[in-house]
Order: sequence, then structure tokens, then C-alpha cells
Amino acid sequence: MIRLENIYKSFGREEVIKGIDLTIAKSETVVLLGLSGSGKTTTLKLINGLISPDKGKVYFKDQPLQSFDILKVRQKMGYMIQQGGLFPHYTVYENAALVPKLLKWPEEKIKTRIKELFEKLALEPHLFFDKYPAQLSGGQQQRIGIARALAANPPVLLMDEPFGALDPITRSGIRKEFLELDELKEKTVVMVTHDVQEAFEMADRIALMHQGKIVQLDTPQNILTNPADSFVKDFIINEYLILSLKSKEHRNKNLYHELNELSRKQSIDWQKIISGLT
Amino acid sequence: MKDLFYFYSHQYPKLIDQIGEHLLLTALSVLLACLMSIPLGIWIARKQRWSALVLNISGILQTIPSIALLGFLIPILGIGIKPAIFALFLYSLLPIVRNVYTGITNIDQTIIESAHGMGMSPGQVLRKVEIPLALPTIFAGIRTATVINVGVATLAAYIAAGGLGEFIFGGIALNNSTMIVAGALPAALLAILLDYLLGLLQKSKVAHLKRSLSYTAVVIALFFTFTAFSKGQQTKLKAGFTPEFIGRADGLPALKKSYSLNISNVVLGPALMYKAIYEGDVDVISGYSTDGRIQSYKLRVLEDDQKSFPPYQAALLVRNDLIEQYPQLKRVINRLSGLITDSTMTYLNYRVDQNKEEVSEVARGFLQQHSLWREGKDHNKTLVIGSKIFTEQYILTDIYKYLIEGYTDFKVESKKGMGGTKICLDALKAGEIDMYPEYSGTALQVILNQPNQSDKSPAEVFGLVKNLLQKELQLYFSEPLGFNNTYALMMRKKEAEKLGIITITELQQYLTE
Repeated sequence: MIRLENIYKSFGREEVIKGIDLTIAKSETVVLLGLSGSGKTTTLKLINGLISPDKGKVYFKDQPLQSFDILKVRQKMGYMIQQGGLFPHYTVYENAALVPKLLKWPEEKIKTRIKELFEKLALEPHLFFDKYPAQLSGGQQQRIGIARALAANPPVLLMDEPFGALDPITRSGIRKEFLELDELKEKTVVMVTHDVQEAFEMADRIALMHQGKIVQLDTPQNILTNPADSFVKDFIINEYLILSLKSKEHRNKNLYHELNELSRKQSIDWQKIISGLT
Repeated sequence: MKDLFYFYSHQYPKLIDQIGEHLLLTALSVLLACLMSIPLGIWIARKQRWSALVLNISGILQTIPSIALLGFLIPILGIGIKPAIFALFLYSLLPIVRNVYTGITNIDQTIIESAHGMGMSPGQVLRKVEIPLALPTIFAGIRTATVINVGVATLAAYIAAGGLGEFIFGGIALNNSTMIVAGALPAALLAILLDYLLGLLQKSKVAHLKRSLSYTAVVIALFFTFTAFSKGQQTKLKAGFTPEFIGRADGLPALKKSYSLNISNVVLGPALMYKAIYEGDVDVISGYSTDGRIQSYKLRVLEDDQKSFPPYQAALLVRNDLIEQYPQLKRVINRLSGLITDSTMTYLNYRVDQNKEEVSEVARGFLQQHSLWREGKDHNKTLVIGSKIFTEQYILTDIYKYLIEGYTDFKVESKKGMGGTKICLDALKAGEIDMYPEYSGTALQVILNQPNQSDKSPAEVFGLVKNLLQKELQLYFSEPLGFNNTYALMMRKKEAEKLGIITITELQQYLTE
């Protein structure tokens, strides 16, 4: 669906992307994980052409990005940034209806679609449609942001720290809602975060970034079990246990078995630790 | 208050005209400024490295004194509404450009970025996101510009563009407070009203905005047609008169009485009328007979064959208590008595206006020539001498300054360029200044409010004025300096020769032919 090929990008004298290759399959969720300044947001913006690379090529559906009308491409990629980036002078409805309006959908179709989406996101249409973003809580704004990104049912969803500005409890609640949205099942999702737990909870694959490079691109499971280098190891070590519980692949399996398996591979005696605790 | 109502009840057609002109000047200039500044502001918000340059240039434009700017514009745009609107336009640029720039650059960048990210075109981002979000700031700039322009537009009265400045400057020239208030009050109300209306406009939705803009355009268009039709019959020659000349009994009204002179005229500022006649924007002006610019701008003074203009003998007006306290001051001042003839004064003015010599040098040279120059001694007391705002007064002020400093132990401070008779007189009464040069005719009519004494000789008029000033205002009027700076009608020398006009009677005859 999306392919980045040997990308380099500098801002002024500072090189922020130093050779990135990344292929994202259809319906896959890839999380760009890293500290601030690692180049993850830049990578995201390369995908919808908000930033163009100095060197290398970006492909969408196996065609170079330049061969498309970039505005049309962006309308096919839901885009959502911290706090939703809602327009303060638009009502909630106008915000959510933005992309369908750009696509010139008929008004009735837009209304039906937004209503449907709001119901899925547990937002009551008649309570929210005429409000302005400033009248909403952070969590509500976030949901509207999600609705806006999904409104035109785009095949791709790009999200930059979508839950970043929320308090931890609201955050995990919305994340849960988000993961349960059936809308997302078919979508290709690229998400930027610096939150390790969030990454492990949501990703099919994680691209761990450091200083403008992808250090490891792998499933959460493999990152835990086979960290590529000491940087990756350091990055995950503190939250190892929680991460192994949260990662998608582990969620429905037998916890005890998994821990055993992990401890064998990492030569840590978890049994001993747990029995010592009890 | 009663005076004001009386004034309005007699002058209301003029008041309506002036308010209309004032409104037109302000609205049109701000509208033009918007057309230029909004795109410019948006552009520098995009190209940040140009922003400093553009903002600095519009800042510099803002600092040009309005009268000077109008003066620069006369050779290019002539007189009347065009240069006035252009000057006001220049003054509106800075507040609008700066606020557009600030408004747009202050928008939260994440909003702009998400707009682009969702596939809005740059035009859509500008129209639907940036401008609406910057609108309150942009409007604040337009409101600032409008209020500034209502104020500056009063100066339009000095270049024949009309407006409420006609009452204000006429009032200042004629020592008529009612007339000043009659112009200043509606100007202030206009500023408040326009600001309020723009505030309403700002609150209305963008859709309404378009409609109200088209209304404004229609109103302005109507007004133009209206003013175009309301202009009366034009005479063969066009005159430019100062507000003072038009209003004073011994000015235009006296001319109309003695010569039945009927000439279409516009209002011009005293500092700008010589330039305007030189550039051919007007054909006749009301000048002063000793003005140095008569020579430099090649003008002919028309002979006052009916003796319509009263004598204007120059002398120094001093606070009485000062003379009583320091009698020697009176002797020193009167050393100049009779020393400056008409031609001497014209020549001194010419040296400053045309040869660009320093006023202080010319004054010193004059005293040296008459062996009155002395180095200043130790000074332990200070005097303040004032002057009206034209060259002759500057020169007289400096001559008196050096004379007094040379012969007494006073240090003399000069406050030059006070706007008119009323301002000088008020400053004198309030003790802000101790003395200033005045003319017998002006004192008679503007200060003392006496009728024109055309049957009396200049010496008789001077004696009368001196006595009345002493009795009614406790002011001492010194011995006359010798010259007579009276009103005079002037034309370009070339044209006057071609038409064979030497006297005002001949001018009147030419106009009625």
C-alpha cells in the first residue's frame, strides 16, 4: 500500500531522515515508535506529501506519490494529529464533514455518514453537532478528530500522537474504543507515538526509530524476544513485563505459558521471581 | 453649547457636505488600503524574510508628517481628493498589513497542518481556515486605520479636499472656538461611529460580510455621482484660499463687497497654496504681501485698487506685567521700530524660502547690518517668544531673540510654529509664552473682534489697536516694525501678463467677461 524507498531529508543543515526503507501492507497497522527528534513525525508527513524527500521515493499503491494529484491522495488518507487539529471556528459537525465536503458528497450522504460514525464513537449527534471544539473535553475532541479522519472512509489512516494530549485514564479508554472500531479492520494505519505501551498495544509491526533511522522493524513479539541491538533493548527493558502482556499477539493467550516461553528465551527465571513474590 | 446650535442651524448644509466628504475620504482610503494590505500581509506571512522589509517601509511611511506628505504629493497628484486619499491610504497601510501578518502567523500551526493533511488546497486553507481565524486581528487593524484616518482626514482641508478640517482650521485661524468644536465634535463622533460599525461587521458571519461590502460599494458609488453633480458652475479661473482668508471679514467677504468678486474657490493650507499655484492646480491664491515665495514661485501680487484689505502693520505683542516689571525691555524692543520696510521683509523671507539660508543667520545678519548685534551677556532670567507657523514670523522671532539677549540679561527661548492667531493668543494669556509678533489688522479683527476700519489710515488703526489691546487684554503692542504684511491676491506672473491683469478690478472684469 505504502512504500518508502531510501529516503533522506534535511531541514536546513540538520539531517533528520538518514536513509529509511519501509513497506506497509494493506490493512496493516504500523507504529513509528521513538523519542522526540527521532524522525518519526517527518516520516509520517512524507507519506502524505506534507514533506517531500531530498532523496528517495515514496510510493502509494505502487505508484510514485508525484504521479498523483497530491490533494486527492491526502483525501484518501485520514489524517489526525494531537488534539485532533480541529478547526476552532467550525462546529463539530462542520469539522467532521470536512473531507466529504471536499469530495463533494451530497449533503444527505454526509449527514447519514457522520451520524453513523458518531454513534459508533459513542457521541450523541444531537448533543454535539452544533457545538464548537472549545466547548468539548479533551477526550471528546479526540473522538471528533477520529470521526473527522474516518469520515470519508479513507483506505489509509495517518495518526501523529493521536492520544498524546490526554490524561492516562481517558487515553486508555479511547484507545480501547479505537481498537474495537470495526471501521479499522480493513484500514492501513500508520501511527506515530513515543509511548512504548501504546505502540505494543496497537501495532501489527513496530518501526523503532532512532536518530533518523529505523533501528528495528518487526512484530512486537519479535522486538521483545529478539531486540536488534542494545538501543532497542534499553528502550523496552523497563516495561518488559507490561509490554509482553499488552502486545496484540499475547492478549488472548495463556499468560503463564507466555511468560515461561519468554523467560526461557531471555534466560530469566520468571517462575522464581513470581514464586518469590507470592 | 447655544453658540454651537446657532452655528449648526446656519451652517448645516456645509456640515452635511463636510461630513460626507470626510466619510468618503476615510472610507475610500481604508478600502483601498485593505485591497493592497490584505494580500500584502498574507504574502509576507508566507515569505517571512520579506516581512521585516515590508513592515519597515510601511512604518517609515507612517512617520512622514502629514503636511509634508501632502506637499510631496502636490506636484504628482495635484490638489483635491486624489492626493488626500492617497496620503490617507499610505497611513492605513501599516496597521492593516501588520495585523494581517500577525493574525495569520499567530494561528496554531497544528490547525494549518491538519488542514493541509486532510487534502485542502492552499487556496482553501487560506479562505476557510487562515482568513477566518485571523479575522478578529485583521479587523482590529482596519479599525485602527479607520480611526487614525478620521483624524488625519481633517488635514485634507488644506489641499482642497474638504472634510471637517475646514471648520477646525477655519476656527483656529479665526479664533472661533465654536467653529473648532463644530468640526471636531462630528469628527470624533464619526470615529466612534465607524469603529462601532466595523465592530458590528466583524461579528456578522462571513456570508453577511460579502453583502455588506457590496452595500458599502454602492453607497460610495452613489456618493461619487452625487458629489459630481453637486459641483456648481466653475469660473474661468480657480482660486485656492486659506481657511483664514475665506472666513475673515477682511478676507474674501471684504473682496466680495468691494469688488463683487465671484471666483470658484477651494480651501488650501497656507503652507501648500504656493506650491499648488506654481503647479497650476489653482490660478489665484490669497497670500501675504511680504512672502518670499512671491519671488521664488514667480507670482504677481494683484494691486488692491479699491483698498479692500486693511493695513497689517507688524509689531511685537507682549504681556503687560512683563513690561511693567522690566521697563528697559520696552526700550530694547522698540529699537527695531520702523527698521523693517516692506521690501526688506520680502527680501529676508526670500533669503530663507528660496536661498535656503538658516533663519538664525538671516536674523543675525540683519542685526549686524543695523549695528544692533551684540554677543549675549550673562543670563539669569528667561523669556519665551512664540511665533505663528510661517517664515516671516520665524525670522522676526529670531531677530527679537538676539536683540533681547544682546541688550538685556534675559535668555530667550523660542517656541516656533504655533498653528495660528488663536493658539498664539491663548498661549500668551496662559503664560506659556511672553510675546509674539502680531499684525494690527489681525489683532483688530481676530483678537478684538472689531469691524474693518477701512476709512481710517494705517496709523489710526494701529493706535486704536494698541489702545484696545492695552485696555481689554492687558497686552502691550510695541511700536510698528515698519512693514505692512497684508493679504494679497496673486497669480502666476506669466498668466497675469498674458491676460493683462494687474489689479483685482481687472481680475473681476476678466472673470465676468
